[in-house]
Amino acid sequence: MSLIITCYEVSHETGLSIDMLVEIVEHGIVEPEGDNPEQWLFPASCLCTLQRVSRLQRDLDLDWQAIALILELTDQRDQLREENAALLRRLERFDEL
Amino acid sequence: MEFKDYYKILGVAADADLKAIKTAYRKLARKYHPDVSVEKDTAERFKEVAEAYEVLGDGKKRAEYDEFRKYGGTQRRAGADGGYSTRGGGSNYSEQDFSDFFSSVFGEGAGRGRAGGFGGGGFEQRSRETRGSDLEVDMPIFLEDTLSEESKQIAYKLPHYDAHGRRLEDISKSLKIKIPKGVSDGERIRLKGQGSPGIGDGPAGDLYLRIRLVPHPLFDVEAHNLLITVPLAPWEAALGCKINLPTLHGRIQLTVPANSQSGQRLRIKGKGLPLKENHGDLYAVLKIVMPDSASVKSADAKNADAKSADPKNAEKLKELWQQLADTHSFNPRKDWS
Repeated sequence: MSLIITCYEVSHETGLSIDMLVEIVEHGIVEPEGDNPEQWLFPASCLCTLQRVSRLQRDLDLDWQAIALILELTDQRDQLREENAALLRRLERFDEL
Repeated sequence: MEFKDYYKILGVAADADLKAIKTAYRKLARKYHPDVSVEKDTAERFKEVAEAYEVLGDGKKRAEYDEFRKYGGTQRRAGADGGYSTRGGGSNYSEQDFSDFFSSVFGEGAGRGRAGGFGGGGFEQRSRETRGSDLEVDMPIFLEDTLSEESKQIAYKLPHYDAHGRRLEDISKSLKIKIPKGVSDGERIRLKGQGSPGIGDGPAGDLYLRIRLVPHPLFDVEAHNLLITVPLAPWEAALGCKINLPTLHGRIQLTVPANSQSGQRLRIKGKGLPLKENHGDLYAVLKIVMPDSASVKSADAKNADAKSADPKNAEKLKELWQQLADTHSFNPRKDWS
């Protein structure tokens, strides 16, 4: 289920160059296993993140640190929104019924 | 083909300088970028903004566009084609290129590839071989489906382009998916090579299925556990009772212990959502409900017509509560003093 892919495949799938991937990894945005790019192995779940990175970098002209921050904050925001929606649903059951 | 007023799209005056155009673009790009925005369907809007900036942010293209605009957008570039403007509904990832309007003014392949693709390549590479774009599709799943061993059918439409970047009719596809055990809401499943077909000899893109657990009338989801609210009469909470409890796995007997509190959770092991090896748990959340005085019936009238509530019973119930009040010194607000 959890597919593992090399940095060449990642580069091919996301359009990010190997140099860019090195910087992205240096910023801790994704954490592949292995010591150097040649040996890097990424879980397939990284692809979505890296595609977001690729689009944000291209469309909003952002540096890696800003992208890392945006990813963290939007993830947090989405998680909070989901939690909030779930809690509101539960509260509704308790209030009405 | 619809004329696109790029100035209007960016919200700038026709004589705005490059700085103002850049600022307007940056603001709108932040607002509508599908990876940042919480609003739905921003991808289309973002693409429009990017296209407008592609033109107005470039002196040469802007001059060409202004010329075109001056004549009411009626002149067409010789030999330009276009006119095919089917926009399939889809997800963020299917949006690809600039509009037909853009191609008719600037010709195919004029874009720098800035908006070249939520997942797709820009115009430049498209001519020979380009990997097809990725597609994200919501996959609604009923909680009951997570238990089923059977595959679930999902139908979706793939955007499709020819070697010149022209959009062809969407391809309808359907797949049978076995829902993996332990999926959670919002999780993406990647199906390699099931996205849009590649252009030329390019490989197909991927399909991402985004799991959406459909809200259930009875159960709420908390990670892999389920919650069900159990309304109880005050005396059921006080004396304890047995309840016939619906679960995803069928009905079971639940024993509510005496002296239960409102809001208390009773754990029923293994009756939650399936995990890889076992199951999450079900929690029965107790909720004490006061009887509506008009509908109170005596215990032996339980099977009688629900509407035949006897006012005498309401009176009797009130007496019983009064007895409790008179004989008990329970102060639920003792923390306040």
